[in-house]
Amino acid sequence: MPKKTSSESHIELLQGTLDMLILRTLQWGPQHGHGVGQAIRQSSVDLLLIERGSLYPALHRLEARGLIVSEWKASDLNRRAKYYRLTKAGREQLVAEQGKWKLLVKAITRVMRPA
Amino acid sequence: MRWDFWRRQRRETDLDDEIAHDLALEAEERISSGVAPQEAERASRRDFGNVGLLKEGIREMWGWASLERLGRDIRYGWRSLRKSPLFATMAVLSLALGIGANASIFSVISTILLRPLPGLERGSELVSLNESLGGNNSIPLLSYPNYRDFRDGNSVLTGLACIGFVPASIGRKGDNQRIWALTVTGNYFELLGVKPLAGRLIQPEDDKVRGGHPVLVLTYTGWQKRFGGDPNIIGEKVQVNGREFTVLGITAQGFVGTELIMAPDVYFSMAMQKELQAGEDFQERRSARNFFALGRLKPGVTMVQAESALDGMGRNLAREYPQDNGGMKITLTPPGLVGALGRKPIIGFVAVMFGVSCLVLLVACVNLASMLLARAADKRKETAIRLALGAGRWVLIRQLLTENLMVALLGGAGGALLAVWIMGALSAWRPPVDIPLVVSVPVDFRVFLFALVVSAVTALLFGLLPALQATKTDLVAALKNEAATTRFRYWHLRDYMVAAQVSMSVLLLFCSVLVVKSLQRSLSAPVGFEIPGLATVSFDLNMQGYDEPRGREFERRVLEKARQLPGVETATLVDNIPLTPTVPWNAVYVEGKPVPKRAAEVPNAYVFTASPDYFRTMRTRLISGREFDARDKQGGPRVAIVNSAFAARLLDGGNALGRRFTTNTTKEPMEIVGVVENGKYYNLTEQAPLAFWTPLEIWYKSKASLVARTRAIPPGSILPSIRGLVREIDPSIALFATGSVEDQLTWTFFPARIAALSLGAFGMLALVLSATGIYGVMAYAVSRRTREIGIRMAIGATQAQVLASVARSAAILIGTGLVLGLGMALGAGRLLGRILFGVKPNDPLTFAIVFAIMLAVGAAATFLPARRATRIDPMQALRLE
Repeated sequence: MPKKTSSESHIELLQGTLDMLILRTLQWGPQHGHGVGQAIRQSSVDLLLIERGSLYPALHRLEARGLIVSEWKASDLNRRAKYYRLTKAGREQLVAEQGKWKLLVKAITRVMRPA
Repeated sequence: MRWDFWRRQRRETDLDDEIAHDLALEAEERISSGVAPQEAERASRRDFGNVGLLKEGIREMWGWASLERLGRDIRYGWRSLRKSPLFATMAVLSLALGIGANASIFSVISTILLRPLPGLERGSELVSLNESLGGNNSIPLLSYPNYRDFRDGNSVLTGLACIGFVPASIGRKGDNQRIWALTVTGNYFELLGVKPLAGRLIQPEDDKVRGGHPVLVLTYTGWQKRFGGDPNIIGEKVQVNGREFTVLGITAQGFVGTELIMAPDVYFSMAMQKELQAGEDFQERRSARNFFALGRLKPGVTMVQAESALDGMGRNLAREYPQDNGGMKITLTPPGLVGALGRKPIIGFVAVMFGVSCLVLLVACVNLASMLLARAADKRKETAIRLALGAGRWVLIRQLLTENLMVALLGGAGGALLAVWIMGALSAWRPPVDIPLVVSVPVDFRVFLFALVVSAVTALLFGLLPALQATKTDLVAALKNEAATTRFRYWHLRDYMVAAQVSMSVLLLFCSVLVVKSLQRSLSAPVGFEIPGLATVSFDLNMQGYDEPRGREFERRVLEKARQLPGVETATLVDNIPLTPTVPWNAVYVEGKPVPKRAAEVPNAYVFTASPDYFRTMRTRLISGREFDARDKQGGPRVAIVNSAFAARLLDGGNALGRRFTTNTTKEPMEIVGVVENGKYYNLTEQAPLAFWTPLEIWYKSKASLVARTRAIPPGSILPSIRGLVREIDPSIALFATGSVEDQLTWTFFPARIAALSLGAFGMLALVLSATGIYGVMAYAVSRRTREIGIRMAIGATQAQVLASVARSAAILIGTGLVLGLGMALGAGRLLGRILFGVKPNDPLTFAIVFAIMLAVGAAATFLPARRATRIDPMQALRLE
């Protein structure tokens, strides 16, 4: 659902977190590029709007690194679409990234704790 | 690769499909939320962002990017070069000329200095021994007894071989030809590591008994040239100076001896030296400095160490034999350029040429840089548009550099081709000399490497600046065409380039005019005889088996008959024509003066042996006394004629007539009967050398040249009758060095001529390059000012005013360059001063000539663009932009 959103309600993604979000999204099953973008947006309640200019290069980068694989399949609307799926290496990477992320959040929260 | 290509195609369509799928879904969502289908599609596209950029980013990840980018840049560069063929041609041509000139000089350097002589084993270990007794006649020659002492007494060389240089007549019976050959010691071939192609080479056993080894070895070229490559030649007996010699073998192909100026056809054993040189034994005379010595350094011994060891031996020899060796100094040099004698001037000349050719290349590069700058400015608008559309600066620089690199590589390839062509011409060329020169200058891979490096560096160095400048554009101004009118008045980088180019061309031109003028002066300096109008033939009667009485008879009859030939004014015989390489000199001891203690202090004088009428024929002025005449008969009084330098320096300027001197203290002195004007006898640069002449009737020589001065007909046309009269007397006589004396002296004038020619060529090249540079920049400036000139003309400027305005800016550039260049020329002239002959380094006439030439070239190069400026149609010019 494209909605008009003011720029204030958007959050700039932290460097390197997009890969983690993509892997996380694909954890629920194979998805095509547009679907990944939508899923991130929906699960962030429209706070994160992923630019296609970042999304597709990220997908291809992850594929080149062997963390995800792609396959052309018929979509729900009976269209041919390119579906991405997590590999074993991708799952391991996701676990590692998640661990690092939790640590980072904890650290930053501590630092930013109201005095 | 093919598979990769398909996979790549597949990936491209996949990516397109994937993007299309995304766009379609996006649009559908919009439509379902109530947006009109067309509007929805447009909005999704807008939201999506730059598809091209996205694809670019993804393609980068495929790893194909760099290769593909290169291909694209090359295609782009090619297209853009084809769009401006004038620029491309001029840039490639000027680089090709600069690089070609440089690569040619580099080939010569590589041949004579960098590359070891071909066909030798570990050539870098070989050294040439140079013996100098101080004084002027320092040549790399030593006597055989000295050679023997050095060979047996040293501990720094694995071996020392001795080489002599002899003319010989060789061939099968009845088919003799005169050639130059080498006599070598038995260790020569072993020391050099030369392998036989067939048979065997001269060995120590072939150099045991004096006169007992009538054997010879042919070089590959000698075998081909003299015996047509006959495979049965080995073991055959051939005629050498009327005696039978056995052919031992043939040296491997590619071996050309050890001196670049002397590629022998035949090698003889040193044991036969006396027999080959008319019975004169030089092997026991310590004063006969007639041999070259070539050694091989022991492993681990450097040339410096060996030199100091051998020099120490030389000092001992000087103490032991002060009469012959006094003041002896030994130096070692790499072989190939006649030891230290040829090495210094040749290296000097090559260094100057290399410097000059580098300067020419610099001019070519500056030329290219200024063209690139002009071009970059030309493409300002295109560049600005591309920058505005989001092209990265680095991408644009990369493309410009690729384009420049293409120009440079094309120029480099052209230059290499040019060098190959020049070297081919040089190797095919045979100088008209009696000596077999090695002038083969092969182009080796280093030359290509050199051209490649030079062109690549040129492109990067001189391309980066324009590329950086071009992409630093102020977008708004560029897009609005504003800079064209506001910026021109200031000096741009390219204006400095033109000024620099003009100044360098002025420098080059000035130096070449100066050197050419100096060479002309030295060529036209008096040589003491009149060269035009003389015909000559030479013969060597010893080689035809003549003894002295028969030889005298032959010489008398030839001279008598030649004098009676129609068209001959006077004729004479002389053992050597002055200014030919075989002119000998001798020590002179004047009667009544103490004999110097050291050999180095004994004065030397050139000695000629001539028939009556010699000076009349040569048109050498007789100052006092008499010419040789009928009084000078066999067995008559020993007389001589000296030149005035001889009289002034050795006889203290007093009356020379009646004074006596000798060349050998044990022999009867000779009396001076005449004094003639000074001249040049060996080379053109010597200053008033000493010389004396003795009568041929008294001192018989088996080798002589008949010289005839013709009356009213060209000297060449008398040759058939001279040949005919010799044939009448003895048909078996082989004549050599036939032609006009002028032709025979080509060699003497050759270094000066080649220097003048090459320097002149470089000066011309620099001129052409700077003319194209000025033209290019001025043409560009005019095209940039089209709008401004249009406005000027629209508001009433006359054609003359426009012309003046264009010419003014050109005049400022050229004038600045001229002033700078002439300033540099003044400095360079001071450096050149030492090698100039008869021309002052600040010669005002040369300044005037260069100034005029440069001004003319500048005016011509400005005229065309300026005329174009006056033809600008104001309406069109204003509408165009």
